[in-house]
Amino acid sequence: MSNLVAALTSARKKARAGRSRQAALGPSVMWALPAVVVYALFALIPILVVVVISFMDWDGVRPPKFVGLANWANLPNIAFLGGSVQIMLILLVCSILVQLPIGLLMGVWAAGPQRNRAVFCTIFFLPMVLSGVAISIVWRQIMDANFGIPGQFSAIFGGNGNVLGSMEGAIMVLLAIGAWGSAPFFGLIFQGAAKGIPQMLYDAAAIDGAGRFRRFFSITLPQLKATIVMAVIFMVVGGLTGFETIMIVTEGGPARKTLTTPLLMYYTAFRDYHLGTGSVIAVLLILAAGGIAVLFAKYSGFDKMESDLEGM
Amino acid sequence: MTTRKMIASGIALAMTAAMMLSACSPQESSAPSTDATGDTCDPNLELVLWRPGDVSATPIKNAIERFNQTSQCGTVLFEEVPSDTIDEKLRMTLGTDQGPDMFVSHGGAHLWEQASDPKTIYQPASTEVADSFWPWAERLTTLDGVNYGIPSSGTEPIMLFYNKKILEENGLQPPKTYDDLLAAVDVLSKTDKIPIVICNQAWVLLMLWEWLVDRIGGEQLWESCVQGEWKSCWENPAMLEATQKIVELKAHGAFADNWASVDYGAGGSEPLMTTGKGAFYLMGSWGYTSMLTADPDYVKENIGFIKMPEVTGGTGNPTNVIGNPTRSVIITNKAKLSLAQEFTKELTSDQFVKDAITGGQVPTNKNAVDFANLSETPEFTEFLLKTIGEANYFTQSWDVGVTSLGSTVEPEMERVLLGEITAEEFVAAALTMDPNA
Repeated sequence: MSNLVAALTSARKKARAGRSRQAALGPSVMWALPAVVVYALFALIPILVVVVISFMDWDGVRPPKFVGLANWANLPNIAFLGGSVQIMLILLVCSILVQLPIGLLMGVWAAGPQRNRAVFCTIFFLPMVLSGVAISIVWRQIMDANFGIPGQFSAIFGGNGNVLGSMEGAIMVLLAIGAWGSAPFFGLIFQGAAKGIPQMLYDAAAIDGAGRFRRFFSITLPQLKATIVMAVIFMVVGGLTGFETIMIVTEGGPARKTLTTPLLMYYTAFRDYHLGTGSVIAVLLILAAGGIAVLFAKYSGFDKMESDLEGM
Repeated sequence: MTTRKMIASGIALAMTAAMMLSACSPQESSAPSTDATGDTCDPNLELVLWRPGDVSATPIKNAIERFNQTSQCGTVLFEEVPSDTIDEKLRMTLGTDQGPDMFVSHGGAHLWEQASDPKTIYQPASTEVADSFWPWAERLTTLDGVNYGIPSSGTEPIMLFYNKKILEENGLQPPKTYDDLLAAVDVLSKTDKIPIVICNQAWVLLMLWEWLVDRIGGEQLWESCVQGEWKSCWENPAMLEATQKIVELKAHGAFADNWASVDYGAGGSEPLMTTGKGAFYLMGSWGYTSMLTADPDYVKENIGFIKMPEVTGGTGNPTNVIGNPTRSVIITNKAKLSLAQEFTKELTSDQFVKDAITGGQVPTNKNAVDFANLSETPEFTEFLLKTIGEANYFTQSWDVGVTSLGSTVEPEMERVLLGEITAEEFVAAALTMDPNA
C-alpha cells in the first residue's frame, strides 16, 4: 500500500514539473493536432496524391502506369493551357477591382452607427447563405437571351439580349455574379476590422478639421491595411481555384472564351479522363496559388504581425 | 460482484437476442436448395441494379417488383444512382466488391471504356431475350460478337420539330429535303420568327452535324471516326460539305443572332417553340415530352414532327436515325448469371411495354406497336415506332460515342456558328483532334 502511495506522489510531482516546463515553452504542440490531422487528411494528402498522379498515365479505370516526366514534358502541348491562364488572370484582376471597393465600402458603412443598418446588412449578406451551385443555376436562367433579364431589357433598350454570347459579356456576367456573391463576405470582414478602429482617432481628426473623405483615406484605409491584404489573398487564391460558377453559368463557353485553368483541369481529368495531365495542371495551380499568397504576404508586410495601433 | 452479474446478464441478453433473430429469419436460409437446372437456389440472394431514378425508371421498377413477387431463387434491388454520377461510380467500382450486379447503360464507347476488361467484367445477355427487341438495339452492347445488353428504356431518336401554325401562316410545307428547309429559312428569316432554334449547349449544335453528315456521307462515315479512323473520316469531303451547309444556313439567317445566350430546355430553347417564336427545332424525342409538360394543349395542337430531312445527292439512307438508341441492362461478373438473365425476361413482358408507353416512352420491344394506342399522344408514339421500325441504321449520338468531343471538336463547332471560323478551318482543326492519338 505504501508503495502505491509513493508511486502516485512521485508521478504527481513529475506531472507538476512537466507543467511548469510546459508553461515556459508555451502551449503544447498537441493543441494543434486536431487542425493538423484535418488539414493533412483533406489538403496535404490529396495534394501529395495529385503530385504522384501527375507522373502517371491513368484513365481512372485501367491500372495507372508510371510514365516519369512524360506528362510534364507534354506541358507545352496541352491544348488551350496558355489561353486559359490568360482568361483566368483577366477574371482575377477584374474581380479584385470590382469586389474590393464594394466590400470595403459595404464593410465600413455597416460598421457605422446608422439605425437601418441591420436591415440592409441582412439583404446584402443574403447571397452568402445560399449554395454557390444553386445560385449559379438560377443565374444561368436569369441570363437567358429571350426569357431572362437581358431579354426583358432588350425589349426596352433594344439589342438582342446576347449577353453570354461574347467574351466581354460572359466575363461581365461572371464578375457580376462574383461581386454579388462574394463582396458581402469581404464586407463582413471589413465591418469587423472597421469596428476595431478606435473612435478617438476620428474624434482627434475631426477636431483638427478633417472631413469625411480625409478621415476615410487617412484613418480608415491605413488602419484596414492588414485586412485589405488578407482579403486580396483570399480573392487571388479563390480566383485560382474557384470554378463552379463558370462551369454552371457558361461552361467555359462560348467556344472556350471563359475556359479558365481550373475548369480546364476539371475537364481534362474528369471529362476526358486524362488524370495525369489534369494533375499536372492541378499541381501548377497549387504552386501558383501558394506562391502568389506567400509573395503577397511577404512584400505587403502582412507576415510581420505588426499592429496598426502602435503608440496608442 | 455487481460487475460479474452485469456481464452474466449481458451474455444472457445477447443469447436471447441471437435466438430470437435466428427464429425470425426464414428457414430456407440455412440450406440453399438446388433447382431443376442443377443450379443452386438461394432465395435470399439479392442482385443490385444501378440506374438513374428519373420518371423513365418506372417501367423497370415495376418489372423488378413483379419479378420479386414470383421469383423463387433470389430478388433484384433497384438502387438509384443520379445520371451525372453513375459513369464515375461505375468507373470506380466495376470489377470490385462495391460494384453493382447489374446496371443500365447507353452502351457504346462509355460501356467499353469504364471497365478495365469488359469481356471478363460483363456477362453475356440471353440471346433468346435479346431477340424480342429491334436488332439495332444490340449493336451498341456487342463486343467481338458477344452481346452484353438487354434494352430497358425507350428509344430517343433526333427529329425535326416544327410549328404548324407558323409554317401555315407563311405558306410553307414541312421540309422533305435540305433544300426545302433552306427555302423555308429564306421565307422565315424575313419575318419576326426564328427559323431554326438552337441553344448554347454544344451537344445541341452537334445534332446539326450528326444529321447532315449522316445524310450526305452515310452512316459508315461517322462509325469510321468512332472506330479510330479519324484522319480518313475527317478527310472525307462529306464532312466539309456538311459544315458548309451549316455555314450556309447561318448565312441565310436560320439561327437567331443571340443563340449563344439561349439556354437549353425549359427555361430557354423550348419556350421559343411553345410560345410560337421559333419555327423549327432539331431535338431528341425527349424534347416533345418536355414541351408537352410545359404547355400540353399548345403542343398537341401546334407542334409537328418529321424525320430529319434528306440531302439531295447525299449517299446516306434517309431512313437512318440518330440519337440514343436505348439504355440496356448490363450484367456484371458479380451477379449470378442465371438469376440475372431470368430477370431480363421480365423486360419482354407485355406489362413492361404497356408501362413504358403509358409513361410516354417508346420501348424497343418488337411488339411495342401493338400497344401504341395506350399512349397519351398516340400520333407521336406511332410516328416514333414507324421511324425506328423502318430505320436502316441507328447511329448513337456523337458525344455518347466519343467521350472527348467536348474538349476538342465541340468548341470549334461553336466557333463555326459564331462566325469566327470557316468550314475549311473547322475541318482542318478537327483533323488534328484525334481522340485516340
